[in-house]
Amino acid sequence: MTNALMPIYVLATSLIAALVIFTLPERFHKVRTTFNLSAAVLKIVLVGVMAVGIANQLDYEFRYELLPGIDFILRADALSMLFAALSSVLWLCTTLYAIGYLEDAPNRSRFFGFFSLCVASTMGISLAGNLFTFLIFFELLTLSTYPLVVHRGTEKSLTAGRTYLRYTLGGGAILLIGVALMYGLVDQTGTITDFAQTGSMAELPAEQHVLLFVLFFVLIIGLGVKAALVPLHGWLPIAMVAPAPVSALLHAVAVVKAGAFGIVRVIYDIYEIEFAWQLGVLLPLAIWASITIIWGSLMALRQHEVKKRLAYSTVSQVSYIALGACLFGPIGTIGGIVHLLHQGIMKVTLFFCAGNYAETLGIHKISELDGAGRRMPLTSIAFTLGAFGMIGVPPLAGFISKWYLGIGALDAGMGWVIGVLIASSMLNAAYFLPILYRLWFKPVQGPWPDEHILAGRFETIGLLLWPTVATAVFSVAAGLFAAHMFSPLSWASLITYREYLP
Amino acid sequence: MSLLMYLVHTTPIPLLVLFPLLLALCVRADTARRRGWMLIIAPLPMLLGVLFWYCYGQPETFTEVPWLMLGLHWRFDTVLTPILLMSTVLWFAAGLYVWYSLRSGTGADEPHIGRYLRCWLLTLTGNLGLLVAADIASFYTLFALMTFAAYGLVIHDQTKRALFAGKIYIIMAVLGEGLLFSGLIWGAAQAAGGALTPVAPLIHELPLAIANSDYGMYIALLLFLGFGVKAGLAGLHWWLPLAHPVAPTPASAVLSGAMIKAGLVGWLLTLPLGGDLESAANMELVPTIAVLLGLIGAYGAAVLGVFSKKAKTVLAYSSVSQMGMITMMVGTGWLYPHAWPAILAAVIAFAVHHGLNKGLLFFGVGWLKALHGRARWVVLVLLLIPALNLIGVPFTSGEYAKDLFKDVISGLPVGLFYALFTYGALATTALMIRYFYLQRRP
Repeated sequence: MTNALMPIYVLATSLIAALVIFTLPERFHKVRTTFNLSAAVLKIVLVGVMAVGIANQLDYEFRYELLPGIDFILRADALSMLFAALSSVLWLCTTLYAIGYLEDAPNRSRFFGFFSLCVASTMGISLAGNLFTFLIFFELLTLSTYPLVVHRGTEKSLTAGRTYLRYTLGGGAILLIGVALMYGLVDQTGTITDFAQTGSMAELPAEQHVLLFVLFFVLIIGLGVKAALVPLHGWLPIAMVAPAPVSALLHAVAVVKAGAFGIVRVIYDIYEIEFAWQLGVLLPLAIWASITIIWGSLMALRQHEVKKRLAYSTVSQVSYIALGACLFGPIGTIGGIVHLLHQGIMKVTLFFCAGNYAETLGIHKISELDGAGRRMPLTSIAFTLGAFGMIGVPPLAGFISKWYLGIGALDAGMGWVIGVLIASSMLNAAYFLPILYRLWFKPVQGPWPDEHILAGRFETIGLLLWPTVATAVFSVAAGLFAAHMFSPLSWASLITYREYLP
Repeated sequence: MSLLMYLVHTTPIPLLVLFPLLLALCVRADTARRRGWMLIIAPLPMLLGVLFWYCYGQPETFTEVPWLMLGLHWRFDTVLTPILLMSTVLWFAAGLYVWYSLRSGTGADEPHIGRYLRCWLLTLTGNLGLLVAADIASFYTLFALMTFAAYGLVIHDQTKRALFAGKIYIIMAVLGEGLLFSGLIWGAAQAAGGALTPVAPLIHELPLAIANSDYGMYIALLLFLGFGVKAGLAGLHWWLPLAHPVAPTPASAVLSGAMIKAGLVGWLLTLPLGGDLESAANMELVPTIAVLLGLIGAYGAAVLGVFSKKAKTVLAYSSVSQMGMITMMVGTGWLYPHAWPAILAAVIAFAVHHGLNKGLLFFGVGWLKALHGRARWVVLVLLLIPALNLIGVPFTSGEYAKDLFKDVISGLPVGLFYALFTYGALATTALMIRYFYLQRRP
């Protein structure tokens, strides 16, 4: 029976951690930290065990019938393991980082509680075995991230929180409508909306195709709010008022990725790629994603704050995943799926760096970064690696994604996607290279805006520095060892082959 | 003896390439001034490796690491090793120059020596590495490393002009990388042919894939222009006369002598050149453009060069002009596939000859600046040798390289082109006269 309980255990590690942290009084910070970190490590171990099992064709499924036709299903498949691995590893990194970042700040109990709850929701999203279960955790994610966005409690963050709620609850409502219609009109037995390929949409009568076409875009709009598809992205740059670890988590794994992951699920496990292709929904979505990619990059060029620029860069980069999912053919799919992970580790690195500059030197604006490379070399190297990765310079992770997306696009007969990729790389270079220039080549202009961590043995405190270095190393390793059998790329290939060659 | 043999056969090529990279990690800002020797020893392992490889009759030497990147494959290529040897020698000589100037104190007041050494070593890694890389991913990696790291060399002086040149350089470089990336990815998709095995094909599979592709012409054009940025192709050369003069003298020497050849190497590796690719005939347009741009480069750069006011700018224009001649040669070989093997030999000879002589002329600018009186005159006279070499007067390397090519095209129906190529020597002569005129007095 362990097989059925494994998904529950994985989910429970963060859920119980959240509950315990909520009940612990504020001053017990040692107990809280120990508990939080051991839960994070335990989860990584459990996910690792499950991943090995999945590779060996074991099934992990927990099923509970709520209503006839509507089950609550937690199931681990190869795709969910990719997202689960990303979220569990980054949970550990961001928690360590957050401990350093929020040292002696008030309300840490509340913060870490919701932080764990947020990770529990992403875990639920990754393990959800059907559309209904997915929806539950998708909404839970919205609710658990709101307290993190408004954590500082300032006027500005409360306004941002309201905008955030307006967007995500709106998106959630649309998704709910889509899911309800899906269950009501298309799939009364719950076989099609099950992510395991039990029923096939292709067998439905042709009269329903128009309905399916419309439903597809209802679902995508619902998911697109979180995935920040233009023009549904408005909340993302505003939510930048949140503390750096929250932004990092939001952008790398939690909210934005949940949307992108949902899009992948809808295309591959509900509609199924071949039917989606015949239905003609992929091309419009690919064009939509391409517009988002270019538009996000153009907006990033105009930003003067480090975090804002990174936020628009996320808008652009996350749509690569949707774009890859729309490329009919295994190689494009690999590109999209692997970017889910690659973008996560690169973006989390960049946000950690932005947080380090802000916490250590008080730097928020790009113009204040002049000469920071010499003062904070390791952080700046990590930033450089992340930025080059985003541009798609080899051997970093971003290059691998772009390479597969490009070849996949050509295989799918959508050569114009190459143009989008190149244009976006150029724009990425245009907004990242000036930052690197300031970091490494410009002299320091007077004192730092607000230096409150002095350079000791290292440039800043260890809890801020080492998670940053670790994720930077991950983003180099993901590209450098891409052909290795334990790389994200190999795992993405495994997912894809199971999808295309059942 | 057999031990050496054994070493040559088993020494992994990545070690030779990554040695400078490791050195770059050891540079520290506070001790950098005493670490000039690093630049001398950095290219040495590769130099020794290549020399031994030659001594033992050019055995087939390659290293495969299938789990690294998209499958790493590095080798000594019989065609490219002359260029590799030339590049290593040039980097070695330039390293000596830097070491001496750091030791003797000229330039001791310059800031950012640590950064300079680091960028130098990274550029060196990229430049030597791309000559042995045989898979697309690592070739592109090393090419990008060289391109981006060289920015630090271009703007080293941090004068206004250097920063401006750096800006133009990086914009052109990013454009070039974009063209290249699209060309490589398109070519790789053709080479993979929709296969499910997701590995990057080896670079020598590209020419055939491009020749057989319906879109071969566009892929070839993308690659031609992408590498053309680096090779100083007319129209894409704007960064060259800006960047080469402002970089420190030894850096300009390697920029103009060795790195500019990376573009040429890219052409040789990826473009569908050669006799067994008869289907390449359907893309006559691209080689025609190549010949035309080569002609414009060869003569146009000379016209611009003779009016420039700095010796190093003259040399930079001369590089554009010489690369124009090489472009003409490549274009001709592309148009007449059966003549390609002979033309390839001429191209390689020309590239090696130009790299070494141009390097010497750049060093000359620095030497003449530092010397006075009789020593200066001696050096000035000695510099006539590389200058005459470049012009190609009888009994020089230039004559040898050009004759190799002229022998081939004298048998081809090229008409006026023979004369046009021959009179390219006039353009070089004009530039060389200008070079000596500008340096006539300290």
